[in-house]
Amino acid sequence: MSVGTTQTRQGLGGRLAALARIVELGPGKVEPKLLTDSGQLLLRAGDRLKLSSDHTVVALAGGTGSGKSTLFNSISGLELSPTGVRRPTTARTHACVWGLEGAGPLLDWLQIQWRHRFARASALDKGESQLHGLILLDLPDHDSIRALTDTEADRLIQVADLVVWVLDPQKYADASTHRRYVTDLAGHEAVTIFVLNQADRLEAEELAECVADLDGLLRREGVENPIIVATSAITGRGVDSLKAVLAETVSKRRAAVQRLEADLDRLTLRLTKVMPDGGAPGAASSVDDARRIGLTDALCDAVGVPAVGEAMENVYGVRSIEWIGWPYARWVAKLRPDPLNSLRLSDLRDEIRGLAGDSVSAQPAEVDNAVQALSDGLTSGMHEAWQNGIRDAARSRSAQLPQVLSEELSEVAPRLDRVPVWWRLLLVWQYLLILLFLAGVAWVGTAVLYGVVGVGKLPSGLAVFGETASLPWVALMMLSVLGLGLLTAVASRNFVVLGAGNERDRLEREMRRRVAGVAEGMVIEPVERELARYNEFYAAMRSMRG
Amino acid sequence: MREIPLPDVVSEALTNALTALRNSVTDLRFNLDLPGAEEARRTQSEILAQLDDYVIPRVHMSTAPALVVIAGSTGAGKSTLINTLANAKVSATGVRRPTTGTPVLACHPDDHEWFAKGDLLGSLRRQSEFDSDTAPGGLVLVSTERLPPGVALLDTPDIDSVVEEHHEIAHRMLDAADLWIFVTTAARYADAPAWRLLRLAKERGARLAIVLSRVSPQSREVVTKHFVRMLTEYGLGEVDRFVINESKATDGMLPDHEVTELRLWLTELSVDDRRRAQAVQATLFGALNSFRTRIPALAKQLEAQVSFRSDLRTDVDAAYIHAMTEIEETTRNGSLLRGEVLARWQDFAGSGDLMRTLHLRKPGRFAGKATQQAPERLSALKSALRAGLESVVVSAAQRAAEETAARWLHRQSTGKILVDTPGLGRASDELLRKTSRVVAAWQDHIIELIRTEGVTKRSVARVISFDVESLALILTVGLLGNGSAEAGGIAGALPQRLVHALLGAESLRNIGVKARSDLRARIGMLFDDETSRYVQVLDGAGIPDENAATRLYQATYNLEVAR
Repeated sequence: MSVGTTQTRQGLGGRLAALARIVELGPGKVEPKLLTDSGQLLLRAGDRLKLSSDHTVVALAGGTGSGKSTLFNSISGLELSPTGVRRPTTARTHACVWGLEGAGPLLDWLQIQWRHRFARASALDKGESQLHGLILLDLPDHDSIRALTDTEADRLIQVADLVVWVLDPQKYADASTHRRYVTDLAGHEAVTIFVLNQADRLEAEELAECVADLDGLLRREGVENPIIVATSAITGRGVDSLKAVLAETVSKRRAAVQRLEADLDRLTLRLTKVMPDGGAPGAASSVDDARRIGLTDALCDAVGVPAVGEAMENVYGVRSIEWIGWPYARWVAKLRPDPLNSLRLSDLRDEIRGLAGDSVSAQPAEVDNAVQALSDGLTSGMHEAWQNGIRDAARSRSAQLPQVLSEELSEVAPRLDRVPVWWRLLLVWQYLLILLFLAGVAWVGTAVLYGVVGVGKLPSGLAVFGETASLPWVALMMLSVLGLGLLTAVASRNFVVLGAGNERDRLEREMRRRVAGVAEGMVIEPVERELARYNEFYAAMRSMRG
Repeated sequence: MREIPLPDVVSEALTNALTALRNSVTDLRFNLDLPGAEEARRTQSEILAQLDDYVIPRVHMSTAPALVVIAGSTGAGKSTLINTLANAKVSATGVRRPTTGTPVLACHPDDHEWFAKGDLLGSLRRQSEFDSDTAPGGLVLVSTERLPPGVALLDTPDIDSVVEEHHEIAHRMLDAADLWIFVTTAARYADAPAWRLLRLAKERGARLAIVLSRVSPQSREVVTKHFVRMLTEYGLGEVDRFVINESKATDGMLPDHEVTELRLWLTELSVDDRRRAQAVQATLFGALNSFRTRIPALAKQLEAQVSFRSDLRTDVDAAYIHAMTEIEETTRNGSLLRGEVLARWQDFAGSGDLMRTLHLRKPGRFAGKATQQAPERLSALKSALRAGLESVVVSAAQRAAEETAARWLHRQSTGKILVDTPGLGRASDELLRKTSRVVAAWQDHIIELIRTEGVTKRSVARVISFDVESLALILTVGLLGNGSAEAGGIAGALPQRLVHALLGAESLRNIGVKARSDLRARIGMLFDDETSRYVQVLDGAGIPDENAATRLYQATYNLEVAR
């Protein structure tokens, strides 16, 4: 085995591995037929490369009556394959092997029956040594009515290392050969030989015209530089030059690899056609920060994070008044007539108050749209199959996402009806001040009663309350108690607003953090897995292209 | 008596029936790529060509000379055979395959005029001998004394070479023939295309003769026996056969003694009017019989096209109806009152704005003050509601588009439509814009409803005034949360009760029903726009005529009656 062959084999191995990866990643993205074909090529390549690399399988293919068997016998120099005038003649493939050792498994793989195997031991034949390693197959025809039900010829044409098309002046332009096989052979020039057999039926100039016509026809069908050999199996003319061509191929021992490469090239072309290497290089394997933030924002909106924060702040502020507001102002407000009362719906007031205890929840449709927007942004320019793949990956856990978001955020969501301890303390303080004020009122009352009106005599211990001289001081104290209450209310109100603002910021940050965490696990991760598959697929495509 | 013409009445009735058949076949369109559509298109053009080239002229002029078509594989020696029979180089021969591209008609000079005038094969352009013009659609006409009168020979292109137009021309010639001479060779007689042609001849009931040429003398017996056995197995054992030995052609002609038998056969046909007429009639009836199966096949394909189109249409409708149902469900069970809407509602209600929308009417002084309140939370709630509803509609529409594309993809033969028209798998680009217009319009409509329908209970109206816009929002929240267990106690019942107290049960129910049906109608219109994209694609492929199939059956029946 030459160095060049080793390198080619390695190159081929790499490309086949890439193809295997594509077959693995392909389902749902590439049409099933193409994947099946790829899988078959992989199997065939694996089998062929394992089997004897010293042998080259050459198949003689052609229509019925073009003289395949006669040519087969003529090359092997023996009457191995039956020839005849009845059409079709050959029904089973015959094989002739030059150099039998190691060829057995290969022939088994080709499914050649034992009784149709013949050996030409090159050592016994002088002048045949250059054909050592040749396995010549005489195929049944592919165009007779028998071939409609028998696909043997088809099968062996697909697996042979080198195909020799045996044509004749009558049939060389048949659609059954050209449409079904030759047009598929573009790129297989190195492993295809065309033989114009029965050359003895034509005059010299007719033969030249015929060969030129065939050459033109093949080129029009996309076969570049076709190798055409004119032979006559009957007169033996041209058989030697065909042998020489075969000998050259056999001695190089590259036909098997070349054939597989040509098949691989063809498959690559088909794959590239359905999966053009469009946006592949630009696609990142991870979701970038901007998109992550975009998704988190959209999901936060779906949960209503900013609104929840705002509601918390407002409701908090309003509710705090009941606790820390100046009680006198509250009492005055309560005196105002309530529309609910006139609607006989006074119990609604409690309900509105109870409303505040509700939990946070996510809006499914908005969650859906947020996820959709992410995959749309990521997949622009991708092949539709991959767009769908990434969308499906993004949505893979969509059904649970709103629920999970709701549960996750309910843990941090504030209870809007909670009452901090200091509110209660302040309430006690306010009532203390009220008590103090009432005490002042009592003092003033006592002083007026006893000191001014002179109702009676206070017990000596309490005489100080009856002195009118203390009245201005008491009044001053009462005023400052009222003022203190008002001041406390205003100050603590500011304090509540400030605290609610901070609380809101903290809450929003916490909620965002949690939303981002959920998004990471339930959307970004599946998407990134699919993105990785996407990149791997196109990397495999590139390495398959070689 | 030269021929047995059809009686005039029969001929006229038949002509009318054929013309009717022709008309109904002409208008057929098979635009959807169903399996068999391609074949139906081909059959259609074949039938049209056969009617024009052969059947209609033949029924008109049953006394015309018989046309014998020589058909076979490339390289079988058809041209050589016609040259030999005509004893002149009327058709080019050579080693190039395929050789003959333009059909050549050779006839006796007496018949020349009839063929030149051209009812038979009327659509082909007549060319003089060796005209350099090789454009398709031509027919070379030559006359020679060597051919017997009343029998014309037609050399056709091959049926099996790489040049596929040739197959088409050859089949067209065969469709116009009174008799077929099928030529094959010793090397080819087992070829699949040859047997396909023989099967066709059998199906059409055409009169047939078979020539096996290029037989080498030493293998003549074996090959002939084998071939005859194959023919017998195929049910063609009774057909006239001629064997021609492989011999050197000079100047494109075989030695005359090789074709003596065949020439005799032709001469007999020429002399024996009765036999010729029988042959002509048999082939004509064969062609007419073939319509019994070919036309219904067209009708079947047509019906398949019609039903497939309606299947595709059903797919679209089903997907969007499903989307509509989903939207109705969502707008009814309170699942819309989540996320931002819920938070805004809590903000609106909890911060006291809800109560502030109600004002006790104080005589005189505050009249008309109801609408002047701080709109901040109100508009936040309003836009949250709008956004929520929009997202529900957009999401449903997107799913419906995906569903439609998936259903179409699931059916065979629609892949091409989907590839040709990208974007069918997603909602249209204008959907978002249109949806927000629709939702905004619906919100305005509710305000309008409350203004016009919302007759405030008189007992309430005396003491309380309210802001219409806020009330519309409260009503919307109540409407969307209606009947949901989850949101019922909190977001559903509260606004319901409030509005109920203000407007009264009757009024509230009216407004609710109207608002819902209005929303459904608006979204329905929106979805109509969406589905029209699919309908356009289907219509772009042509709308199959649903009655065409019936007309075909009718025409076939009439033809049978006319015979």
